[in-house]
Amino acid sequence: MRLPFIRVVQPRGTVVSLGRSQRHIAVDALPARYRTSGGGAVLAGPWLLKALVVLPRPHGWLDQGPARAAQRFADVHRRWLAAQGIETETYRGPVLDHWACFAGRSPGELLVHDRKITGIAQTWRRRRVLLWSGTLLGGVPWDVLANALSHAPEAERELSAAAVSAQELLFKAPDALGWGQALAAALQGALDPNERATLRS
Amino acid sequence: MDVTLDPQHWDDLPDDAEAVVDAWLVVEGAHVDAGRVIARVTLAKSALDVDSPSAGILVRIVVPAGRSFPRGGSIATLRPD
Repeated sequence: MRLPFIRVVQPRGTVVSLGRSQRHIAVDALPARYRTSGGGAVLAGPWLLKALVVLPRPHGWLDQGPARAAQRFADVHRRWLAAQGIETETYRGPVLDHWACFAGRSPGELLVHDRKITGIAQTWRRRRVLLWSGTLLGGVPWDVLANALSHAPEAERELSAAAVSAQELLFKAPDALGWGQALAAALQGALDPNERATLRS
Repeated sequence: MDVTLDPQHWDDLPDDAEAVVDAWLVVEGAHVDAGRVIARVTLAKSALDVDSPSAGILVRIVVPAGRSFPRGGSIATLRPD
């Protein structure tokens, strides 16, 4: 893989994506994937726009640790969302763990009136670092996630209050393809212009 | 010698942030080379490697898998060659 590498995708099927500390959790009725990164469970599907950036080490984005890397990654997302008409705030801390990613909080993640729209996670290895983001384009069937992980029905209300989608904010469904292309271009433009990123979408 | 997470990984995080040891990749009593990844931890949703600071014997695991530790906390003791 030539680095930097950028991929932006809208998942087609519905999959429960679990953080690395959740490997013991059983998932009912849905396929499950286990991430190398931390964080809580994500219900991946067409309502989510996922971005992955793989950077070589060393790289300018990485020279001040994960919190600053998350900040740089988030800044690109913040400008991208602003261009789509959504103003966000960057969460500063403290770290709030939760079994569901979009109900937890970690520095660098993007909020709209305290509701998360973009989650960020990272995997640091000796030679490369993977930065992941998930942005909610449409409404998530939170009951499906709660049921799959055997949480009480009230969890749906909690998750709905903790997260917000672009569709809810704009009162219309975003053009996922166009938004994805814009995000990929923004990420490519934000990386060192001397490095031509490998781009997939 | 204490084994700690690279201090840079804590930069810009709140003072009370804690990391969690996800897995130990070596057992107590094992000999490790300098720079070898000996544990994997999670800090603020970032999965991070902990490298051995020196070649030597991993004498004691201070923070077992599944337990958390604070900024600067020793997670193991290493006896250098």
